[in-house]
Amino acid sequence: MNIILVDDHVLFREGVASLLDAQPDINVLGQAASVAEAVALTRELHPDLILMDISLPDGNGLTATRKILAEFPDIKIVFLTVHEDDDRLFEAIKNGGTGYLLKNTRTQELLKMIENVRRGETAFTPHLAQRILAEFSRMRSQLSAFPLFEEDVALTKREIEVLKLVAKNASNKEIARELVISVSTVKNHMRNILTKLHLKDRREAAYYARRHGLVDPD
Amino acid sequence: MTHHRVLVIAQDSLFRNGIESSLSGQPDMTIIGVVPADINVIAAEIRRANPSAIIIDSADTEENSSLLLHLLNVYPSIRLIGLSLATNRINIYNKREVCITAISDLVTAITGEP
Repeated sequence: MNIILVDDHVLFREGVASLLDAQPDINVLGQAASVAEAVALTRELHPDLILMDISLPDGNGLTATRKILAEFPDIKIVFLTVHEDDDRLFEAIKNGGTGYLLKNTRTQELLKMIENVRRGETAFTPHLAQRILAEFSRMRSQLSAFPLFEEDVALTKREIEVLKLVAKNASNKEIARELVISVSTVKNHMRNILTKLHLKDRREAAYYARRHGLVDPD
Repeated sequence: MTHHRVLVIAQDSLFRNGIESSLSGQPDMTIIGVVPADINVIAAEIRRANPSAIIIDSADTEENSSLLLHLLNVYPSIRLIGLSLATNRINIYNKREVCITAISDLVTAITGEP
C-alpha cells in the first residue's frame, strides 16, 4: 500500500514513516507538512492512502481532504490526530475521511487499521466507532421524534392545518370556521390525527404540535 | 567517539516506537530501551541499562513535570531531552549544582556569566 503522511510535527511524521517503511507491504511515498504540500504531493504521487493530521500551519486536514477528494475520490484518507473531540471526528467523516485515529493509538493498532483500509474497510478504533454509533443513534431518535414526516404516519395537509389550530387551543367550531369546513369534518380529521400519532386526546395533540414546532411560541 | 545510550520514555506507543525506529540507524547511538512513563519501570531500566541520555515526553502535564523533576534530581548526570507531540521543539534539561561560597555564586547562577 502506497502512503503519504501529512503532519507538521517533524519527529512524529518521521517516526511514523520509519515504522511504516519497515513493514513489508507498506511504502511511504512521501511526507507533507502543510495543506499546500499535501495537495501537491498527492497530485504528483497518487497514493492509495493518506494519513492526515488535522492541525496544519496553512489550514487544516479537513480542508486538505476536501481538496484532495474533489480531485481524487478514490484515495483513502485517515486522520491521525491528537484531537479527540466529537466535532472534529464528525467533521472528518462528513468530509469523506475513511478513518479517524488518535496519535496515542498503539503501533500495532495503526498497522491493523491500515490493513483494514487496504481491504476496503474503515479505520476507527472501537472507542471512536462507538461514539459514531452513539451519534447516529441520537440522530435517529431525533428523526423519529418527528413522525409527521414519516411515510407510515404521514398526516395530510389538511390534518396538519387542523393540528396547528388545535395547538392554538382552537375549538372544533373555530377550526371549522377557520378552514371553511364542517364541524363533523373537523372531528374526522381529529380522529385520524389521534390515531396516526398514537395520541389520547386533543390536549396531547396540542402538546405534540407545540413540541414539534408546528406553532410559533408566543 | 562517544557512544550514546538512549532510553525513550513516552506514554504514547506510536510516538515512542517512531522515535526508536527513526534513531535506530544512527551511528554511535543505541536505543537501550523504550518504556512507558512509569517511575518503577524507568528506575529498573536505568539501573539495568545505564543510559547516557533519556528522551522524555515534555507535554505540559503534571505527571510529566513530576517525572522530569524526579529524573533531574535522582539522575543528574543523565542528559534529559524533552519532546512533545504538540510542538516541533526539543527541550534539553541539564542539572547543574554549584557550591555556594559567596553571593557572587548566586549572581553567576542568575546571569549565567562566570
